[in-house]
Amino acid sequence: MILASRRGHVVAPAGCGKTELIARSVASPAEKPTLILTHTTAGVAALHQRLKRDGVPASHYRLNTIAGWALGLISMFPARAGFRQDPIAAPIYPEVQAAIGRLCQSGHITRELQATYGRLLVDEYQDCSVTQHSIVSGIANAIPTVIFGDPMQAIFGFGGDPLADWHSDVAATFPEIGRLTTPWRWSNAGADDLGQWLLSAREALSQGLSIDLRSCPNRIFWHPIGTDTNATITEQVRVQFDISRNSPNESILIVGDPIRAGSRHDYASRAAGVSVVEPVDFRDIVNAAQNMDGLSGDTLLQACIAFLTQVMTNVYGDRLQQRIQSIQADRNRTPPTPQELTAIALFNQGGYPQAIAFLKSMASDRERRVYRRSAFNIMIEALTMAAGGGPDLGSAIALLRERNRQAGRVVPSKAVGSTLLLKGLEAQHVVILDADQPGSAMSRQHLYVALTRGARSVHIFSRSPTLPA
Amino acid sequence: MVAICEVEIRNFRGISYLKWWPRKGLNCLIGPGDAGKSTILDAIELTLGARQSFTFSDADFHRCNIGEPIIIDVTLGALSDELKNLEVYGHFLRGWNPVNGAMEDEPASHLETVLTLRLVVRDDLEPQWLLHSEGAGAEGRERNLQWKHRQLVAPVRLGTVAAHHMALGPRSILGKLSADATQAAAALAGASRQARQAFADRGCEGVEPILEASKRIADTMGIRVDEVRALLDVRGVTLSGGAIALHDEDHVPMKSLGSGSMRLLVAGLQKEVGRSSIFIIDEVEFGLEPYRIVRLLDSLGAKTDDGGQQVFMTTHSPIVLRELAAPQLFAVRTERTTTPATTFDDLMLPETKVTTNVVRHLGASEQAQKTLRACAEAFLAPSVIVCEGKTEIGLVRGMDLWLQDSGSRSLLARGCHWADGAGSSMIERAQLFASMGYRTALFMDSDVLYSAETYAALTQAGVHVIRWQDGFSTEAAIFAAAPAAKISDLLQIAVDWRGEDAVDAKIQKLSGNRYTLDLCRTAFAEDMRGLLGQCAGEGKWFKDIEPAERVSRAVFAQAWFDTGIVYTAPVTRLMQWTGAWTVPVAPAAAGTAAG
Repeated sequence: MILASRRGHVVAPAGCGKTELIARSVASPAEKPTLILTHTTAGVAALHQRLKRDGVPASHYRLNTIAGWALGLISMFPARAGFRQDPIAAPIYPEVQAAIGRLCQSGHITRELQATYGRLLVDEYQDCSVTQHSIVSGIANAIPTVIFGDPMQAIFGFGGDPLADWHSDVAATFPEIGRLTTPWRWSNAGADDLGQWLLSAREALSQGLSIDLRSCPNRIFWHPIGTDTNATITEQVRVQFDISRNSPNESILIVGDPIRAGSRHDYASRAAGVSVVEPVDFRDIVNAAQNMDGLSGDTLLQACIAFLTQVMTNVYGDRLQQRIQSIQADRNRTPPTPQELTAIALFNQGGYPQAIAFLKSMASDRERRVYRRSAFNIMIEALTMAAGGGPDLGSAIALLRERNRQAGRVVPSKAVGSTLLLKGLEAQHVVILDADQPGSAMSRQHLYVALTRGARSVHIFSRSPTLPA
Repeated sequence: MVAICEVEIRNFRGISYLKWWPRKGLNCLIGPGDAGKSTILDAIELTLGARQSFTFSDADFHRCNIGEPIIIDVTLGALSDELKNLEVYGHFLRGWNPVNGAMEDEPASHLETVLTLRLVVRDDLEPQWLLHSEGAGAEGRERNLQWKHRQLVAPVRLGTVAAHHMALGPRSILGKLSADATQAAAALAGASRQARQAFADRGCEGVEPILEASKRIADTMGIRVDEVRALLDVRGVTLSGGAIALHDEDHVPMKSLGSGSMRLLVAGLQKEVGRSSIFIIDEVEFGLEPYRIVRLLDSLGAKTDDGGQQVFMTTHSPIVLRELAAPQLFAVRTERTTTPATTFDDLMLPETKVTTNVVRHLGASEQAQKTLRACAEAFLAPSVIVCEGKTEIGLVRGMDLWLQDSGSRSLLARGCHWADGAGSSMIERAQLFASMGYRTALFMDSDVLYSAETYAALTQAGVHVIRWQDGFSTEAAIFAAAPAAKISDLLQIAVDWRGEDAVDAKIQKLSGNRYTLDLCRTAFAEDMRGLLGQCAGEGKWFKDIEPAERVSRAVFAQAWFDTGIVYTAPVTRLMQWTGAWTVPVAPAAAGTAAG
């Protein structure tokens, strides 16, 4: 179907074997490689792993993000594209993409595209912006192009560059050539009933109808949110704990507050074993690193403690600093702990090496727990680079962030994040902490994405048993 | 198939700078020996072939000036998909306009996508091959053509010696044919092992006593040897690529074919199975009879010009030229201009010599094709006298024979050939030759007068016009200038050519029966000159090479100093133009002939 199509789109609801289909499309050898584009580096990493696992030879495909591919092309044809990107400066992606969109539409590189690629496949097309759509439809004038997507999973929205409208833009350029209807993810997990329920829920949501969270009692567990906030919080932690106890070694994704990262961090600090899925820009960690930059001694210690309170439970910074005063003045009655010793070393004109020792010693304390492990690790790595005479701390953390962006995420088996952060990830179970929070209730698309993260069970907290209310 | 669309050469051997846009099909280069034909072919072969083993020397630099690098840019068009691949060559793809030859930094829909290969040799004599683009995308990048793609563009060259093509070797056509060289290598290694085994099995008569003695001596010396055998030395039987050669059914190596046959065979192989579409042939006529030249040119696409392969060849044969289409012909020229030493603000500026190399094309006009067919020989000389018709050719040939009779070098030896202007075509033909860079003279009569613009255009084009004074046809000039004593000789030539009766009838008719042939012979009077000139013209008495040649050689040459300046002045200028006469040969004193 895909190999025969000149241009078209495939509607791919969550978990219906889209990645499998893409992998099969490039499995057999062809004269020229297939260009596969997607949106995020995480998406590229995931597709790459999948193709590698299926044993698809790397010569069969070229895999990139739309932005990354556009950046490569702008370096070749700045004059025809009408935009020059300084190769040393940070890429100005909106302008690069707009210029490459015009270039692809102009027909100037049609023959070269035909010479280079056999066809184009684009994943996650519902996340395509208007400029990205102009790039893809321009390439489609040169080579056969099939796009994959699901308008019900459209939850990205890039500032200043609106999403291409599925009906007026996308479907007009790429007519539907088929849709995936077998919920493989759930069938494979032995939860075919949940898979079928989600398909019909998707249909209902896309038609503007509401869904009843009580209509699939074996798989979907509705937890009403009452007026007692503390009871709700306790219940949210307990549900996750029960799943872990009943189904050890099974993964859980927890869909938390979409905006306030702090609220998700709070959840992770309360629920043992749950890690935080960090946004790729690690914004608060980059800020923390920039605050530490160039400091030493007491001020660096203060900055380290401030950082730890963002990623670790039971830091008790004030108590720690009082103890340092006592020990320095020989007024302490109990002997200093290893953590206190490293803190003192840092306090006494210590630099980055002492800061690293202090952070590591704090993390190894049984009384404390790092609930943002990836954030903690990236900081340690950045400090190590800076201590080794490498770049300054601010540059080091920016470098590491870019490397992570390229490498893709490794998600722990129990993780909390927003719908946006968890999109594309899958687990056996999903816990949705608040689906109809007043003022920021989940949209139909967010709701569908959240519901489809769990292959075996869904636990959902909301005020109303039917959503959208 | 890949084809060269532009060649740009700097400081390579005889060429200081040259830019040429060859055609996609057959390109035949002609020109004098030092014009740089072979240099162009070498430049193409070296740049596309990338033979690391080639050793450059100071002599490869223009005027041995190693301060200026040799830079050869060969731009390839009609690229196959592999060469247009964005991910491999994207930064180096350029756009070329086939209409005006303009090169742009990046491809575009209205341009042909091209790649430029550059060969640079600096004073360290180390050749360096690179892809080249002026574009911003290529800035700071260095990339070469991938090895597998080299194979697509590396030309096959058929020099005058074709024998090496009959064996599998790195530079032979067979070597380029075999897709998998390693298979051949494995077969060779196997064959060499078998040879050693066969030798060991069969033994070699007469070595037994030597082996016995060797063993005995080894024993007595305390060297322990169980058995001594005579085997072929491993190094002695190593077969390399060149060891596989084509043989005919009698096991005679194809290398012993005649050189012509071998060249035909190689050309056929290249066209049918060659991987590179670029084929270079030196001296295409070498070793071939005319009918086989025609066959070879056919196989090279001289007639079809289908673009299946791009051929670069040189020739010195008019037979080859006659078989070509006019657009296939290119003349290579070296033009030297010398600026004399001058003083400028008390500063002595030394004399400067500037060499320019150009490639001029004959073009695609109908006249170009006719000229090529009719005047093939003239294209092979540096100087061309375009003669209005056969009469003028005859006169020139007569002068030439006179030169040779008197022991001077012939016009041909002076690099001068005549071409038939075929009457009204002469002006266009003269301009064609001039535009291709030939030193051109036009030898015409003056009974038909052209506009002043026409003569000015000829001069502008560099054509040296030689004609009789206004109003004189060639025949009129002949009879006006001939010494009275020679009139009967002229009439005899006419009689031999046209017959007694026809000449007599023409004289009687035009004179209103006042004169007869006999009267003109026996009682010639000055006032007959005009009439006879008219009769000669109308009666076509000398309208062919042979009679005109006799007029020139047997009449005027015998009485040059008695001949009138109506004839001698223009002919003298022509002879001076050819370089045969360096000083004016004084015309006869006025009086013997009417002026």
